[in-house]
Amino acid sequence: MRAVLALAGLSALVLAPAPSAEGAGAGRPRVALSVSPAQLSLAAPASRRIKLRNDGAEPAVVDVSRRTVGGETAVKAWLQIVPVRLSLRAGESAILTLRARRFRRAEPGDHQVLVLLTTRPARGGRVNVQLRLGVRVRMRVPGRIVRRLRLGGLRVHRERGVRSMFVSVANRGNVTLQLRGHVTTSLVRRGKQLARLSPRARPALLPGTRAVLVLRYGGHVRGPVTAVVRVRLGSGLRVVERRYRVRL
Amino acid sequence: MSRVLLLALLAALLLFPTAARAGAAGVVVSQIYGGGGNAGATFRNDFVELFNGGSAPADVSGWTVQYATAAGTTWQTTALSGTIAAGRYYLVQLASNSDVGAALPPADATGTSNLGGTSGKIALVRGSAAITCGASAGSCSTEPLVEDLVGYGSASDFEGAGSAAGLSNTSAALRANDGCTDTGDNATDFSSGTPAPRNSASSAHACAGGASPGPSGSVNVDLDVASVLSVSLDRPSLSFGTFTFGDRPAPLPERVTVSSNDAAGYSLVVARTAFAPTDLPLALSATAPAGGALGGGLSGGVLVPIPIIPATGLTVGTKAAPSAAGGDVWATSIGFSSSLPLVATGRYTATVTFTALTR
Repeated sequence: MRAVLALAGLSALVLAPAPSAEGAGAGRPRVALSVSPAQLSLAAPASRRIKLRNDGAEPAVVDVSRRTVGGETAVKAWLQIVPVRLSLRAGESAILTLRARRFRRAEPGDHQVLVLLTTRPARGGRVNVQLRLGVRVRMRVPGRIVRRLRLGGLRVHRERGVRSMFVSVANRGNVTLQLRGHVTTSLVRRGKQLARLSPRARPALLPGTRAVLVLRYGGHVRGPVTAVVRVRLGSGLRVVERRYRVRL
Repeated sequence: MSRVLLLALLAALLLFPTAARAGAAGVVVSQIYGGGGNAGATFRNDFVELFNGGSAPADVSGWTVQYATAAGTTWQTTALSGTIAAGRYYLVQLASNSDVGAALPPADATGTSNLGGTSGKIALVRGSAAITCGASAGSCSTEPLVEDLVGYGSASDFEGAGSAAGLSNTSAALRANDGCTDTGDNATDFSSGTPAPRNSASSAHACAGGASPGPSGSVNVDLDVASVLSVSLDRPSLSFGTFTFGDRPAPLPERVTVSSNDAAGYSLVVARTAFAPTDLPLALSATAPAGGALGGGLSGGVLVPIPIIPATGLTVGTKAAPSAAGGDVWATSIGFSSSLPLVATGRYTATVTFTALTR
């Protein structure tokens, strides 16, 4: 039931975007830009298309550029985008084509590129303001895929009735690992589960990056317990588990 | 035009259905009574009533109705079987303390759970294993097999902002609109009223906007919703006017609206070019929309210097959820972090860039 409501909400968002691209310009912001999809994955070699729309009341010139994530400068050359410049009238849409090439020297796994869509600034003011949308592109190069996650230390922060536990996680593999919905945590004492906690964390962890899981416990149990953190690395894949002895 | 195409696609999907399939979604707990057999009780047994508000029959074989005390996390299970037709009810008869009260209508399933007369928790679970959640509010909502959860009285867990009202030997928790209302908040979906158990033989009830109960076909509708990200400004340029050494121009407002349907949320970053021929201390303050978190140093309406490209931009804020339907408005003001230095006369210009990207 909740899922249906969520889908309805998402559909409503897409069906009725805030700054409407159609109809009269009355009430439309002067400068507005939208893109769909806002992130995508490619298994090189492959191509994908993204839709760009000028939702503003004024014409817009949009420059397209690429930026690497994590210092992999060579990755930028693997992704070709056409066109690199667009002129869009108010309400007009255009299609960008992304082609991921396969390079021999490319290491297997996921590589990230940010495609930046930037409006040209208006002229005439002392301070001109421009918009930029970033589209996250994940390119997967075939080969040996390594999924490796390291659960680091745990630190407890005590504040009034709430205990916050911070656990560092590091992606030591070569593919992006999903954290949202894949992490379970429980507090255990003498084999009895006292509570299950829902960790807060970024939804995904890129290769070679770190994140912090935040576990909040508002219950009444105090004293020594064991916090069991489990991360499922994917459907049907192994589970990384670490147990921490903590004092609440 | 894109909206028209999408509606046409939806219409086409409805006109050319794929294979029919009984859907289980739409079954909710519609009534709870825990005073069975107590002194002055209306009915002899406790009961839980289910309702299928969906448009297709729901097969509940292998499902269970589970009960835990108000503060407990140990759940007692009652197995269900059979199918609940669209718009129909399903009665689960539970324990009795004595022969006080009227007999229930014929039950569709029977169990031995002795419900709390005033407080407790009921979960409808798509499986037979007892769940272990419920110690704190929201803990069972993350269980993937929990189809519906109702906490009543002083229950430790419930859906939404609060539990349903406490019960008595003569009152039951009744889901509004004969079981149709499900906003995900027990406090608003349920009210206390005279118990009136309904079973699979009771009259069908069609929820507004739903299909009529009775013989029916079903259709699967499938739609992929792509991620979308948009950003808009209400001013493409800002003119501060003419100032001189020692002046500090008043900040000018710039509303930045971000729309995103990505569950991971988005971030908004600002950076700028340097003023030429001499840089000036351009800065920004901001307030966050509901659910948004301001970036470093921006809380309290403080003007924070805007980094000069290629330095890393200033994070105006982040949101770890989709935007509001009409977009999230980040109300910013662009001004100067200190008085203007002594610089040569002339027209000084710079470009400020707001960047939105999914997280």
